[in-house]
Amino acid sequence: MRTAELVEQRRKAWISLDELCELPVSRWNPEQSIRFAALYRAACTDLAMAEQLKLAPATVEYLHRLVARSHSKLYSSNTFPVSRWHHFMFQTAPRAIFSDVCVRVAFYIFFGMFSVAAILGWAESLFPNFAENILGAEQINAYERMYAAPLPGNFNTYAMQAAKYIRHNTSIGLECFALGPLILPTLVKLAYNAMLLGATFGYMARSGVSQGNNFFEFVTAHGVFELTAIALSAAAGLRLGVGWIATGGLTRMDSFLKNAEKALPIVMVSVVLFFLAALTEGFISPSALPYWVKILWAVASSTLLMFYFCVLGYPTEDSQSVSSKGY
Amino acid sequence: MIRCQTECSSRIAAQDQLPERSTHAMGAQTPLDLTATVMTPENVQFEYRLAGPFRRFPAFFLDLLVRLGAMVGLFFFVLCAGIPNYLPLAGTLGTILLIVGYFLFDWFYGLFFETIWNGKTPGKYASGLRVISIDGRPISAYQATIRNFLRLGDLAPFASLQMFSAEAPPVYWIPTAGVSIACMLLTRRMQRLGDLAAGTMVVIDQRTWAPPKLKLNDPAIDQLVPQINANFRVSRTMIRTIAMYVERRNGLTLNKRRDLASLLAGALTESAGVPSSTDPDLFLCALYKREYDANWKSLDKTDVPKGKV
Repeated sequence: MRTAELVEQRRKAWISLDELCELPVSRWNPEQSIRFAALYRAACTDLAMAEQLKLAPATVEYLHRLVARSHSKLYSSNTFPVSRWHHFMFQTAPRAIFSDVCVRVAFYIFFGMFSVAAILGWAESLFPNFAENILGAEQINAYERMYAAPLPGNFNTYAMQAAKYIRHNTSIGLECFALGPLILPTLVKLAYNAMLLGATFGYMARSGVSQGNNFFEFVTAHGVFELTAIALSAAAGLRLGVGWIATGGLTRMDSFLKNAEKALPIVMVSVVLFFLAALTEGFISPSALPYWVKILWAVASSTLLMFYFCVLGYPTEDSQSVSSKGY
Repeated sequence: MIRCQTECSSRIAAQDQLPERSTHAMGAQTPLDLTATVMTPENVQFEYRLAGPFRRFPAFFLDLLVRLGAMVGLFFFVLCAGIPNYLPLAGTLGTILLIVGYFLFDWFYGLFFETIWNGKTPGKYASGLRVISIDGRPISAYQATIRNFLRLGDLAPFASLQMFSAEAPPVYWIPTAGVSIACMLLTRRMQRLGDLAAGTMVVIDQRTWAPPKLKLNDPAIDQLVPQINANFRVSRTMIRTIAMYVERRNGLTLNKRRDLASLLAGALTESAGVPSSTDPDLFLCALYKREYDANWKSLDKTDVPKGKV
């Protein structure tokens, strides 16, 4: 009967632990916190003992559930520790981006297709129907109506458009990332949007299109951040997908996990860029500021990105020793 | 059996690497069992029960409703704020608020809640689920980011109504969630793509649970116990099977009990030295009682004084 007495003796402790688990941690008083720790350790020991002494399966099951419950009460989720932000954003992330082949591939695809589509869309005499075929006559009409009036005159319309674009373009970017593990949809989406944007830019640059001036005055300021962000998030998606294929000697699953870890800094930077683009798009692009301020902003933001990617990202001797798990 | 680890780190012990788990309770050694074993820093190994697609769908659906509710709430806020025309929320600004709000709810809802609520969203809270790392530790904000940003990939491939009929209304993005279902079926911990990338799994979050009341107070059982041959020993697997029967027998009808019990008891009565005419159900209860002496006593809270926590 010794085990029976033991269970009887421990039962009260288990039930009080169970009752403590019912309360949210924030409502524990100091004594309860101390008591919880002691009770949890005791329950762990009891579980170990219950298995050794071969107690009744129901009792063992009860203890498994009790320990699992207290375990998730005791160890709770880590938020981003503020002290690591700086290191993550200014060391880990730019270096990860600089050295990543997927980023290069995504940039070549996106900006390559963008430039080609822009040239084809602009060269009216050589490819008269290219822009119309890509964008569709309806879309072109919509653009022409949208950018018919000069900027400061209809702030509201532009602000509306800006909000719509923030959502639309950020969604494109994040979709490119989310579809990354499947690789092909990301490539298609990236190329498709590059063509679409390129053709729009090319069409608006035609000398015969009067709305072009308003269009460029609107897009100049935020274009840099936004286009870079789309390419970056697609790069992060590709990084995930490549994990399936180029395993580098790991199991496919481990390689996928490892590549997801590598993709995280890239996608975080693209989220920051989307946010900057959104701010620019909301407050600078549609505003009545003179055009040269917007151009200056675009130049400044490209310089900033260059500095971020190339100077902060340039591999130094200690970059090998910087633990990628430092965050 | 408890494996003592020298290093004090939480780590998962995959079930297939643990042949000694055959001594574990409740028949957990079968590969079909939906549990994940976790080694705690306290050097104790315990099990989490994993959640599969059918448990996770209601949580997903509830989260969808919560997000929809939040959007409707925001819409009415914008609408009401616009009525007196004091605030410039009605027109442009209101629309901007709605669009940006939609974007935030759409992409950052799961990330936000899983980080601050320790791996739970409102939907998961309601359906009793929690996301944890595969090593049993709580989810980190990084993991929450990866698994939530990848949700769209999990909902692929997308169907459209045009696939069925050319005249159908233009609905192009119907998520079929084929990727996540395939992923959950193929992985042992039933992870979706985002879980695989983030190294997380979804477990059933234990609420308070008491083992079933066994009701073994029948004096016939007590009479039967001493009749069993003192040298009679049942194998570990057999006694566990018997335990699984006895712990569940309250939910069975009398006929069903007799059917099941006679299957188990048939071969044992003779070597145990009890007459073969003994009721098989009572015989199994007696074996259970003999093996686990009195610790079958129920573990519910009713007879413990409250307020002593």
